[in-house]
Amino acid sequence: MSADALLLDVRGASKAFGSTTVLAGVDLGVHRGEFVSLLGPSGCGKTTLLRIVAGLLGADGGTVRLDGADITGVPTHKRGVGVVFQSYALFPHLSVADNVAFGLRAQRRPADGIKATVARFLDLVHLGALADRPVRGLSGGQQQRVAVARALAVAPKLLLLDEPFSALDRKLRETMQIDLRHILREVGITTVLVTHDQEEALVMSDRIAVMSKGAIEQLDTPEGIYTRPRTPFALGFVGHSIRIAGKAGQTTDGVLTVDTALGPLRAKGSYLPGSPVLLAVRPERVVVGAPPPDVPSNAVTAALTDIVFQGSKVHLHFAAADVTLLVETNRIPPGLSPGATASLSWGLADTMLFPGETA
Amino acid sequence: MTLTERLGAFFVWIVAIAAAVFLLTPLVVTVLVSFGSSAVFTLPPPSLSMRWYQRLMTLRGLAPALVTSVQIAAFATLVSLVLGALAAIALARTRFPGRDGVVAFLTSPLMLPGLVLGIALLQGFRFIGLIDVWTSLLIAHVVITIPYAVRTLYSALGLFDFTLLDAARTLGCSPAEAIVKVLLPNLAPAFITSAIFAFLASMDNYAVSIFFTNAWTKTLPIQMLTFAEEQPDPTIAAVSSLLIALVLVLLIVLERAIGLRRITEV
Ligand SMILES: Nc1ncnc2c1ncn2[C@@H]1O[C@H](COP(=O)(O)OP(=O)(O)OP(=O)(O)O)[C@@H](O)[C@H]1O
Ligand SMILES: [Mg+2]
Repeated sequence: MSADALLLDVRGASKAFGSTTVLAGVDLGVHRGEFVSLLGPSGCGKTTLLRIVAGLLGADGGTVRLDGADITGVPTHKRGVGVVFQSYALFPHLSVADNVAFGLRAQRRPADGIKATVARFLDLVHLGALADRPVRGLSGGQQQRVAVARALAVAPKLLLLDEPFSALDRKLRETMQIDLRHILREVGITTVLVTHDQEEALVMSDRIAVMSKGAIEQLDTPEGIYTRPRTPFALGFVGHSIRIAGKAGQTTDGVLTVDTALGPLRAKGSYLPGSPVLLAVRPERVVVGAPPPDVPSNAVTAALTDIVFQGSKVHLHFAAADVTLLVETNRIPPGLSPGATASLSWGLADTMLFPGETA
Repeated sequence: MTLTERLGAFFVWIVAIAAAVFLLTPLVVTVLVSFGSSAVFTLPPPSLSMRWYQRLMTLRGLAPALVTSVQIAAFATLVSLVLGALAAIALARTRFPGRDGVVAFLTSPLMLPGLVLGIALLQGFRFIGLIDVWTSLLIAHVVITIPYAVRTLYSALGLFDFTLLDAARTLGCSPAEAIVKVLLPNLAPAFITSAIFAFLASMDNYAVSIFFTNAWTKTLPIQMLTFAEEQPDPTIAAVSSLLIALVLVLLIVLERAIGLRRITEV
């Protein structure tokens, strides 16, 4: 896609509070109509980036472009960026309908239009029946939907959601995620969601930006991040993985041999011999038993320590030489019980290779 | 209910009723006496009459004192609300060493005996050469009333979620509009509460005012004491009854506007 299809284009955004750098030159491009999640652990700067995009916080450096226009110096109320806050920030002195009408009135839209718009957006979030209720007594899920309707009613160019599900209990969260995704698709609005919950990011996003310590480590589709994580952090933050540290050996035909505590293993790539590397594989790519002879594979021997039945899948915990190996299968392999040793193997193509930590 | 619970509830009611009687008796006596015909304080009054209320009209010095008191109370309340609101915002929005100390300092006139406060202010005014009675009274009454504004507004701001202002801005309000449309309506109960308490505290003050009044400028409580010394008849009771009526009216206004429950919360 060409660069001018970017609705939101953040370049080199940086921010420091005192001597702590919170954002270190972040680039983020979001296409028109796209749903992008900022995924990262607490304190990595997600909210800070969001507030900079909304204009609620001034960046120390960098530019923010929205719909082709540079809005770096434009005040919040002229940006056309809607926000659903983590606490929802509903106006306690107003009713549900007046909350939704607030932005329309602030922008001095004609009165008859306001009524119709409020009704339309309350219907969209299935709250038509609660229009005249005060917001105080609403449940968490209802409050969230009022906040969404209120933000959408003024027809912003971009919608920002800051952990909108964190106040909801787990069960409700899952249905609300799918629900909200539907609503936002229907409206067709470009959305940036902030979350530290990988499931949430995987469920909702077209693309995920994995953030760590004030930088975006990888911006890719959920599948891309899961199958091709670019950094050990992205690997660890999304999904489970087996990680085996080692030292690079020789490279032949583009395949590197790595010396590990589990014996020599191979991966596609090339490193200076002797440099520390990290090998990784997703648990569901590992099979219990000998590798098929015609596929280039890695194989190790490990002892089964635990079997965790999880309904549709089974987690087998193995250990070998201080490395824990998690294997995910569909059913418990017959004849295997804790204490037994087994051979584990996975394809060379499934073996991920990262630079290791210099000890 | 168990027996002990019943006894407990019974005891609580007894204490509550006793406290109410103890607090209300002087007020009831005052009102009764003001409607009595007797020139001395007799209970029950021999017959009912409005003579003391009629005498109010002819009493020299009462009207000017009332005007002075209302003016001082109104101005002091206004100044206290503005200064108190600014102070409360600064205290609620920033962290600095000694912040709690500043809160304690601003609310300390509530705790200090009026005489101490009065003498201190008098010395202070002498020191800076302030001799104007009206100005001295006003400043003194700002000192008396500012604790009510700071305390009420500070605790209201502590409960106020400032993200609401951010939300208003993302919906198209300029920062000033956000304050008018969101902060003020949410703080209105606190403003009304502190205004009424500040106004009443100023109207009622005697101990501090005594240092700053002279023969020509007197506040109502001081003028009333002068009357009581010169001519101890139930006219004073009539004035007091009117003041009680004023407080009742203000309390009813408060109750209607925001509910008594919320006043006692802040
Ligand atoms: N106003 C501020 N003053 C000082 N430090 C701040 C301020 N705002 C944020 N920080 C710091 O910046 C860092 C990033 O904060 P931010 O709120 O962006 O994190 P986050 O990724 O949203 O985390 P969370 O998931 O906990 O919400 C944190 O270490 C935080 O303490
Ligand atoms: Mg945050």
